Amino acid sequence: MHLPVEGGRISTRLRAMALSRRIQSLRGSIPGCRSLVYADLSARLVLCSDSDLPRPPQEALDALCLRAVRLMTGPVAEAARMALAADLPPGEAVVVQGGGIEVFLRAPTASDEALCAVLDPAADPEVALALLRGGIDAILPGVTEHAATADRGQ
Amino acid sequence: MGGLDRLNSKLAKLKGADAEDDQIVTGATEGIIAALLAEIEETILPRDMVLTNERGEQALLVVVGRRVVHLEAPGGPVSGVADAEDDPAARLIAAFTGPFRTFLDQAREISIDAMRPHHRVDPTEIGCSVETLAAAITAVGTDEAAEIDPVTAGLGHAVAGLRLAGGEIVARTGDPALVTRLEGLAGGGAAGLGQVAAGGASCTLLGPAGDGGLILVRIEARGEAALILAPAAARAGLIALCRTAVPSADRS
Repeated sequence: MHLPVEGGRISTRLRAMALSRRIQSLRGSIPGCRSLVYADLSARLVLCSDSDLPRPPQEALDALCLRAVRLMTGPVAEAARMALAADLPPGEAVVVQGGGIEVFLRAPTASDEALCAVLDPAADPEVALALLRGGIDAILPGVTEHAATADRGQ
Repeated sequence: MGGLDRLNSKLAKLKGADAEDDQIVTGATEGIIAALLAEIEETILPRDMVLTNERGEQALLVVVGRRVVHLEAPGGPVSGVADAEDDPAARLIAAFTGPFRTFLDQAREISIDAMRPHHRVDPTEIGCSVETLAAAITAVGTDEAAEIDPVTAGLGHAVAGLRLAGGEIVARTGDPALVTRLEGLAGGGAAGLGQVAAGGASCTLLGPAGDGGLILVRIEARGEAALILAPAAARAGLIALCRTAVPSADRS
């Protein structure tokens, strides 16, 4: 099938739509997941999100992204890496606080990218992590592949 | 230990016969704990009570004078030796309601054996009386669970752990080499780890992707914190502890 792609702008929009649908699908598969964010940790940027709210406050998504950055990069991640005697900084994190649960999963193939999920207080973060692990490969390789294709085409 | 056969028969009924394949029967744990407490209540002379699951994994309770003085479960041994830094009863309660209870929850079959201890029981091991243990277990199963100290209970899951108050280390537990690693973290990275949470009671767990190896956990509640290295398999238990033991009033 040939997509009616005319230039980088349209192909970028199609990429974003595809990613948005994949994020939406993954969030829907996680019981009790209120919001799911795909973040670029190095740019501290929310790249895509899906939520049970029609328009979640951008400040809340940014704060979630920033917590992912603090946990998975920089001094905290390095200190954790040393404490765990690991070669790599932590790939997963769970924060339980204030009646809510947040889970973070670094992309195995793109260490600067991560999925961040906000769960209901009654949700099971172990189940959420397992589903994120299973789903992240289906989401991110396509993004990376498309991005590389777009970069080469521009 | 005259009732050992009776106890084994009861354990078989509670676990073996009722457990479906691939099903963890947590409800049966209450009955097993009640049977164990009754056995501890009747034990005066020193005894090793060894519980073995269907995979041959074992947990050990050393009991004397109606007191538990030593406990070994997956996650490491907990001694009832008195020291200046910690309450031995609290340590044993945390281990009993943490890793030991998890061991019982996950077992599909349980048998128990009792024998004279291999080593002389140290008279300084004041341990935890059966009455105190029973009261603490009852509290865990009721609304009083909110009053259980999650820092102490979390340390019960630790391979190595530090207890922090005001940023200072006030107690150490577990593998000395791992404790040394945590001490390095307590000086710097732990503060940053604490700042990730917005204040108040919280639990933060970090680890490699997947279910293997160790995880790093920081639990904060009531002005104290625990810095813990625990097996990744303990993550579910630690999360459950933080969800149930942190009172909602302390959350922000």
